[in-house]
Amino acid sequence: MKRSTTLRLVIVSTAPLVVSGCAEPSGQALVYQDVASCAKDGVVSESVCLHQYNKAWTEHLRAAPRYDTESLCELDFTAGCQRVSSGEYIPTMQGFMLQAQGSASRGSSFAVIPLYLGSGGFFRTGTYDRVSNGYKQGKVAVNNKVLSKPSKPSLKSTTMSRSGFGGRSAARGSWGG
Amino acid sequence: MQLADSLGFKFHTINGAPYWDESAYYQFTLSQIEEDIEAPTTEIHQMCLHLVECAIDSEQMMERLRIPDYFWDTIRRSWLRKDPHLYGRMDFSYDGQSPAKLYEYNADTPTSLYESAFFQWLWLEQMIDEQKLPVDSDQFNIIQEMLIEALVLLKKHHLGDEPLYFSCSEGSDEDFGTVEYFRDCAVQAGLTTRFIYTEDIGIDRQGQFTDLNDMTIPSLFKLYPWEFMLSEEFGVYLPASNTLFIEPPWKAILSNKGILPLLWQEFKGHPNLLPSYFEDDSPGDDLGRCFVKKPLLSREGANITIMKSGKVLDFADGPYQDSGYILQKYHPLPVFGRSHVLVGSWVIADRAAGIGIREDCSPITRDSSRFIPHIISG
Repeated sequence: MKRSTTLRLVIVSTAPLVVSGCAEPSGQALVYQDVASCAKDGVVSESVCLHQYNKAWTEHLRAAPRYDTESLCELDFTAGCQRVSSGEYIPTMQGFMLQAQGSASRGSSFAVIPLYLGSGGFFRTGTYDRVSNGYKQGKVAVNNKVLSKPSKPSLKSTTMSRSGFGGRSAARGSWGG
Repeated sequence: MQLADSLGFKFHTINGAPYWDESAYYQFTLSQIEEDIEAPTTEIHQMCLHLVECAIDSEQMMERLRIPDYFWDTIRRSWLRKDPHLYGRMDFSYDGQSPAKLYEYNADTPTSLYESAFFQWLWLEQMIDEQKLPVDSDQFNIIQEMLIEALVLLKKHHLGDEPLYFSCSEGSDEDFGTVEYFRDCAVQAGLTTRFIYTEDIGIDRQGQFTDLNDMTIPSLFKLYPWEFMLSEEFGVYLPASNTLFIEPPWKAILSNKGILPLLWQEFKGHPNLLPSYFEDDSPGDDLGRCFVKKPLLSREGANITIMKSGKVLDFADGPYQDSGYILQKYHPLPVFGRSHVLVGSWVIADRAAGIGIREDCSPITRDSSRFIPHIISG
């Protein structure tokens, strides 16, 4: 074979652009299987659980990894895959992860991402990053790369000026070559 | 087309002409691919690296390439510390029988990556699924796989958890699509990614590049040619910048068409090279009476003139009139049907990783050329 056996795209056409620079993540997140386990844990209220679960579900439908066949999907995600209207297959959402945003003092605002079960029984994100060791729920220390924000942000500075690059783009259109 | 749409690629037509044509494909034998394309690509890439090695210590070569002298040391340091590079595309004229001839090496900001690496691959999978092509049909295409591997190594050896910023200029769907495709591969490789338009890049008091939130930019993938950056206002900040650039500064040597006469000088007579000379040199007899005049710095076939016995045979207009020129022996593209066919051979890191074919109605392929998939059979 002179070609790859499997290829996929994970963000093109589905993910919004992350236009840089946000608060530093704590490295901790809340992971739950469903609204009931979230509410039972008591860290956030049931109504927040429900609201965040719904947000995760919407995100799941929008951005879950897509596969051409069920068997390809189940190679990556062991807990079953579903066919969607486009004819493609997506993994079944098995949980959701909440992470406090901003000051994190009140936890009033969360970033939420849908979770799936990957091989080995680990919770994984749609981009197949492993969330933590095992199938743990509640407060977990998460691998920083699964969070949508950088673990070590580049340094805060003060910009003196912009538009020092790109001046020739208008004149020359698209390049490449 | 619908597939391209659903994947968010809007650049399948340019000026109303189809850019992706799924009705046709080119067919190669395995030995054509391996002996006539893959092996020469690997070899020429190594020849090019040899020339970079020479050029970094040669003021004369840097001058010939019209690289501004304030950037020479940056290039030299970038080469000596082995700044990683990801990709490039060699364009060949190849008729399936005689040796492929190198037209140029787009080593800094090559286009049509997504079509070659992903869409073409998907096309073949679907053609096989729909039984329109035999199951043993193959394709020379491990481009995306190699790209992700190169990005994994980039993270491991250089970036760690620092974000890689992706940038292109505002206003081109195609450039944006290419950058987003690249970013997709980076996410799959586990990298943290950001996006910033080239125009939005800032400079801070310490002379470091910043994003829109005033954060310094640790590493930047730029779909914007080095020669543009060097001639623009912020170019002077490049030598003292701590940003790791992809492609690295040393690629400025290879993306320059001056590499063609330098290759010919060093490897004269190589079966995959065409006789090439700087315009201001006295050309050898091997150039012949029919040759192509190309600007040192140009993209997408712009400002290329085909000369025969002192007369202009064909000319592609464009904005690149301010650099020197090279002359290259005219070796017309093969014509299949009514199309002139150009083979783009991808180099990922240092490896020949696949091809993409473009065809055009004119002998000079431009950015409006059609992309045609290929298969290997027999």
